[in-house]
Order: sequence, then C-alpha cells, then structure tokens
Amino acid sequence: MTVKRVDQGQHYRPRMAFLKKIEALLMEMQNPDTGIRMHTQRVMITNIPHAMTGSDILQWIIQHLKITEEEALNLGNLIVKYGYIYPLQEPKNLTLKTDSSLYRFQTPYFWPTQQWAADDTDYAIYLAKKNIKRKGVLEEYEKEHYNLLNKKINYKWDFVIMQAKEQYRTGKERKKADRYALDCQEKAYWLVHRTPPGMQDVLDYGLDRVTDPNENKKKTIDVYRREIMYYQQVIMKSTVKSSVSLGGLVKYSEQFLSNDPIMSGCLPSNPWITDDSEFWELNAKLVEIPTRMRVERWAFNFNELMRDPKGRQNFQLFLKKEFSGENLGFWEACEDLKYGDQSKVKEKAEEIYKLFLAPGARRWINIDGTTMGITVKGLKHPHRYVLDAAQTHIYMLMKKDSYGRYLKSPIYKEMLAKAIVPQETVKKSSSFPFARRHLRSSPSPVILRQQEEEAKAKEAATNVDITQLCQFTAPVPHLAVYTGTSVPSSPSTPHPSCHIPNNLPFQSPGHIALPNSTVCPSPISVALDTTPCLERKWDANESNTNHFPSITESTEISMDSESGTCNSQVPGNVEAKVLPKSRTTLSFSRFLKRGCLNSPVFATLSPKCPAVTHGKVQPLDDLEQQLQQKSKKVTNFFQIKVDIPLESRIYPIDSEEEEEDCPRACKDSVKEVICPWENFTEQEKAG
Amino acid sequence: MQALEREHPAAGSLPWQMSHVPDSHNMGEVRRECAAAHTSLSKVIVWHRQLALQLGGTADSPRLREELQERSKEAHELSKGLRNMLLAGLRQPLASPEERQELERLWVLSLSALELFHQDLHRAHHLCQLFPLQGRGVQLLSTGVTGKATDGGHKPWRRPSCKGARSTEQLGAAPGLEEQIEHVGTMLLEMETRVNVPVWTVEATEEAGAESSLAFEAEGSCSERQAAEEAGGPGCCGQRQGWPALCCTLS
Repeated sequence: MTVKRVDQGQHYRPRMAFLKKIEALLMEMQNPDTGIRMHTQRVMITNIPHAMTGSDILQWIIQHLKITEEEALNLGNLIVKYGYIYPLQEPKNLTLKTDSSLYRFQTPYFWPTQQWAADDTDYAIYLAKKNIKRKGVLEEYEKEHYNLLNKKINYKWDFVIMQAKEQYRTGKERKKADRYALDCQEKAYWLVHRTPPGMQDVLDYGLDRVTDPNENKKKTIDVYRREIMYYQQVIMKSTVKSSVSLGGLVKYSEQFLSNDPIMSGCLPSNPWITDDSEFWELNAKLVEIPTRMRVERWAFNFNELMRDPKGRQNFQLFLKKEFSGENLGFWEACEDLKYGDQSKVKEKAEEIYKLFLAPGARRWINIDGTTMGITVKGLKHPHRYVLDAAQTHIYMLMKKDSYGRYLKSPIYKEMLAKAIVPQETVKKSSSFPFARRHLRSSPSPVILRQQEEEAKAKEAATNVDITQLCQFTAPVPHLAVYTGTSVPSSPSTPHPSCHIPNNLPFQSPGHIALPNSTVCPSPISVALDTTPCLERKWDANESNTNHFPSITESTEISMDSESGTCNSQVPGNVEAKVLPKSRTTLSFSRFLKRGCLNSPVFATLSPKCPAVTHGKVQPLDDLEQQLQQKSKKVTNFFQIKVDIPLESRIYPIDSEEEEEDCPRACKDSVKEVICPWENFTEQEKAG
Repeated sequence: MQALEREHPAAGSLPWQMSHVPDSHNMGEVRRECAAAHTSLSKVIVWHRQLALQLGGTADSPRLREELQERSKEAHELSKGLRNMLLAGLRQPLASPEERQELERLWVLSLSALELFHQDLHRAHHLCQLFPLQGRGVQLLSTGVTGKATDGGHKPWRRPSCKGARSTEQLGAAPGLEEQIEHVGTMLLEMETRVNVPVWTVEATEEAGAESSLAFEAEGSCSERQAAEEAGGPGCCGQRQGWPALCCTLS
C-alpha cells in the first residue's frame, strides 16, 4: 500500500556479509566466561546493568582475534558505527573511545539487516513519540524529516500518531531502568539509520539490486544453460595480463605525478586553501597564454592534447600550416554532434556531410572508401554516433601522422617557450578571521558564452582551407540572398543549411564554426553598403597565408566589382553560382589555381557583412528585395565569382583542362552538394 | 466513490466474509465499532513490538516468546474482525458520504496497521530464528533490559497452570510464526486489491506537530520525569547542560 519504490525492478539490497561476521563476533562477546566484563551504569538513582568500558572492548578484541591495537581500534569503531554497540555518555559520537567511557550492546531488534531497511513509518512514529515526550523540541534535521514524512505518508498519519501515543504510554509503564535502556537503544538505532547531517552514513550501499542475492535458485536446465552462456562469453572477453595493465598504471602515475595538484601541489597556490583563484584563471579554457605544466602535458599523449581546448587550438594552427586543418575541424564537428542537442542531430549530420564528406565538399577529409561507404549508409538514418567510424579514422590519422610532427614543430615550441610558470604565492595567514574577504565571482556563463562565440567567429574568419579549390563554393547564409537575382537559371539554392539562417553556432568550445552557421550573420542587411569592417582580420591573416599582393591589385583592377571594398567575416565564401563566363572569371580562376584562396581578395569580393557578433539573420525576403533593387550590381558581383565545375573540385588545380570544361560544367556546378539520401529539387528551395 | 462495485463477484461466498456482519444498519454504530477495533489493534501491535524488542536480549525467555505468540494471534484475530466489519460497512449502499469517507479512512488506517504488524512479524520471526532458546551456544545479548514481569498495563501473563500445553506449543512456535506471516501477508494483499480505496484520499485529521502539545498525565513527580528526560539525553541536545545541572535540579 505504501508506495515503497519507484524503480526498474530493483528491490533487493545487496549482500552484506560483514553484518553476519560482526554478529558472530558479538555473540562471542556475550560469553560469561570469555566475554567482556560487565559493569553497571549509574544514572542518578537507577542502576542499569550491562555496561562496558571502551578499553575493555578493545582489549577483548585484541586478545580474542589476536590482532594489533590499530586494527582492533578500527574494527571496534566499525562495530560502533554500524550500531551494534552504542555509547552511553556521548550518544552522537559513534566511535570507540578506549578509555572508561561506557558502551552497551544494541538489542537484536535494532540490528541492521540485509533483508529490510529502516522503515519510514517507524521513523515517523519515533519522531512523533519524541515530539510528545519533548513537547515539540526536535533537532533541526529531525524537524525536516518530520515535515517530509508528514507529507509523504499523510494518509496514515493518524495511525502514526496513534501508535506514537500508545508506545509512549506503554513505555511509561515499564520500570525506569528498562525504560531508560530502551530509550537509549532506540535513539542509537535512529542515529545510525537516519544519520544527522555531518555524520557519515555507514549503511549507504549504493543502488538496490535486481536479483535477490539470497535466493537459492533451483538448478534447472535453464539455469545451467544460462550459466554456460555466461561463462562462454566471459572466456571470449579480451584480457590483458595483469603485468601489462599494472605496468600501464605505473607509467601513467609516474608521468602525471607532476601534474597532480594533490600529490605535487599546484602553482600559484591551491585555491581551496589560500582562497586565491589565480590558479583557475591561469588555467581557463582558452586563456591567452597557458601555463607551462599544461603545455608540457600536451606532449604526454595525443589524448591529452585533444582534451585541452587550448591544445586543440594550437594544434589547429599547426594543421593549417600543413593544410590538414579540416581533420581537426571534422573531429570537433563530430564531437559536437555526439554531445549536442538531440533535436539538431539530423541537421548537424547533414551539414557535416556537406562540409566534410561529400564529394567536392569544401573541407573534404581524406578517409578510405570503406569507411566512407559505411558513413554514407549510416547517414540515411542519422543519429549521434553515425560518424563514429569516420571520426575514429581521422583521430588515428592525426595521432599517427600529424601529432608527431606537431610536437617537433615551431608552433608547439613557441607555445612552450611562451608558457608561463606562475610564482608560488605565500599562504595568506588570516590572523583576523573576520577580515572582509574580497570575493570575486567568476564571470557569468552568459558572458563566457559570448566570449566563446566571438572567439569562434574569429577562428572561423581566419579559418581557410587552402587545399581545396572548392572552398569558395561553400554555402553561406547570405547566399540565400542570391536567389531570384538576374541570373534566372541559377538555382536559387544554396545549401539547405542556408535555409536555416538562424542556426546557432556549434556549441563545442574552440570549435571552428562552419561557415554556414551564423558566424556571418545578418548577411546582407545593408547589402552593398560600403562599410569596411574587420579589415584588421585580414591583416592578421596575412601572416598565416601565402599572400600575393600583386595579384590582388591586378584582380581588383580587372574586376568591375561593386562599390567600394566589401569585407566579410567569412573569407573565401565566394558563391559559385552559374555565371556567364567572363574574362575576369578566367583570370580569376587562374589566380585561384595558385592556391591563394585565403587572400583578402576574397574578402573584397564578398558582400559586406556588418560586424554583428550574434547571428541575427535578416529574413530572406528583405534581402531579396534589396538585392533586386541592386541587381545590376549584383550581377557584376556574380561575374567575379569563379565557376569551377564540381568534378574538378576534388583534385588539386593544376590542369588547364578546366577552362575548357568550364562552359560545359556551368550547368553542373549549378548543382549544390546534394545529399545522396535526400531528394529535394532545387526549385523547392528557391528563395 | 463506488468502491465496492469493483469487488470480487463472489463476494459473499468466502468464509471469512461471513463471519462478522453487523446486525444493525446503523452506520454510526458500525463506525464506532470499527474505530474501537482499530484502536485495540493498534494497542496490540504496540505490545507485540515491545515484546519483540526484547527478543535476543537478556529479557528473552520462553515466556516472552509465548507472550509474543499470543499477542500476534490476538492481533491477527483483531485485524480479521476489523476487516470484516469494515467490509460490511463499506458494502452497505445506504451510507452517507461522510460515513463512507470515515469508513474508508479507517480502512486505510487498518491497512497501515496491518502493514506495520506484518513487518514486525517478519522481524520477530527472524530474531526467533537467530536466537533459538533451545539451541546451545547462542548467547543472549546483555542489553540492559531485564524486563521483569511487572509490566503494568500489559495483559497479565497467562497462568503457569497450562504450562505443559505451552511447552509443546512452543516447539511449534517457529512454524506457527511463519504461517502467521503468510496469513497476514495474504490478508494484506487481499485487502489492498479487493477494495478499491485510493490511499491518497485519506488525509490526516490532525496537523503536524499537534501531538507535541498533548497533555499526558505525569507518572510521578515532575522532577522525576525531568530527570528521566535529562538522563535520556546527556550532552546530545544543544540545550542540555550536562550532569552538574542535573544534580541541581534533582535536589
């Protein structure tokens, strides 16, 4: 009747073998000859028998079990903690004191057993009885329990009160010594089974079990069959020699000993001790200059590097130099997929496919055919772990290939040199305990999130993959704008992801946002106004990229670009729409072949985006209207765009054949990257 | 609430349902009877518990076990009677809503009583097995409770004249207890499932903490009671001053 459990079939308490062992020991203690000496406790005018001193108990344990004093003391403590013996003079102090403080045995009714836990109804009766006895004076935690129980078992509360009154009445009718002893017993019982705050709950055993450990199963054929299956599976499990696993443990411990803040202390100081949170600030997720310990840790193994967002950031710099930045980008995107919103799983999977996996994708990653096949098949029904195979492949690739070179690279070495070793601070001895402490609260998560997003935007802005030419065909939110322009045959469409202009940037820290997220927000709200923005970004970028200033100039001259300089936060996102071929196009394609894709030229080509840090994408219709007004300009703008056939995207651009292919491929390039499992028509997506 | 329509169709045929049917259809009387039965059941449960508390300790004895047996039988009988009365009362369609409510309340309360009793029976059985009085090598614990038979207010112990019969009965104590546990268990189950009285409809009649203001008759001088209270909690509650103050109050 009482709602006892809300569970998944877990009704049984686990085996508690130690209880039986303690009970056996207790029985031996009772022996009148070899047991413990009994005294009489004197409480005012009454004498209550059967009291023992702590030292007697200890001595008895030592002699009977022939163990050292330390061990005996430990055992004695345990016995008292579990409630088999309770102290008389300090009821709440459940330890064995080895002096003349008195203890008494607990009655078996109040022993802890495996079969049942201390019941709520009993506790309620006890509390009510105490209420009656003490006229409402209960301890705080008892009051809380009382109120909770009153609500929980309100329907039997009348019965509880009745029982409490009755128990109180009958209790008074016993003789005083008995009454006193019984009271002590009950109090001790509830101290063990409903521990007051601050005391350790020794009977906490975790979760209940599904199967009854005491059950004696009849050995039927079925049982035997199950046992055989179980043991067969156990044999098949892969095992590791203990010498090997222990060796691994030792190695790990040795390696990480210096990094362990408990074992080796932490610099500048342990914030929990000195109240100085500098340690946390210095080790913030994406701090500018990390500590030396942290940077050294990245060299321990690849996992350490990948776990640390700062490490990943640094690694990404290195990978960009090696033109394999997309690997880490893909890995991070997969992590985001795995740990992000369930509702966005499908979208994210599609986006990742289009960005990384599709033939001709902008940041195509190099995985083998089988893995690709599995992944594409899995993407028909996307779920969180659909990209696991590919992710593992890329992870191993990075680990075996890039990681080694990274550790020898100047980027890592530079970071190591830059890394700081904080000074150890002296512990401020607070002689005046009431000194007003300057409490600084950590920055609000909202602000931290904003900062992260800004950082991501910066990263995305600087993130250019110069390996693939197809980069510029990537979708951008503002591409949606180009629908319905003067180029009639152009498919209005952008990638499906552009339809969702309100995509939030990916949540993973340090994640380099895919360009089709709202890193480039509010696309062309001021479509072609000349608002030079973020030029400095390009300056920063220069150091990283091969830059051909001369070519920039020439192309600028040769282009009848739209007014003024446009900048975009997302470089290189030049739309590849169907455009009538033009000479500028050709020259530009040649320019691109040289692989200078991340030059600021692209920035000048893209329509301007005002520097809005948070995605507020204008509704499509506004933008379209604006564009239609300025269609002429837009057309011109389009002319700049390069028109590279889909097929050639994958290959490095070193053949001249493209140019001939271009006209034919015009129409092909119209097609966006279409997910093989989806079947949407381009018309559908028309703005 | 049409609780009884959901009862088992062969309602009247089972033996225990026929045993006690109230003669009068006076609902007030039925209610009073039920309430009285419930109160006495409650009392017996408390006595049973008092006895079970001493099992395995120095106060344990064959007589205690007998007494325990008797109490449990008594409780069993009472609970059966109570159940029948309540069933009969609930079955009557003439009941007014308040009376129906009262009876349902009593039903729920008697279910709780039975549940508690069932649990106590389990415990007692477990302890009896743990400390068989006839077995050798099992020492009783020195618990400080030496409960003599001067338990005023309890029912007096049975005369030792029938002791011969008692001893043979005591040998059957263990299986008897087990049977009882089973009986009570099944009764509990039956009660829970047959009559559909939702538990949450019953509310406490008194508010929380009301019992603390109850005036109980002092069993001795006020100071003695105080001393007992003080002795009961040396140093535990924050308000206690400890032994020296105790001495002062007792003078």
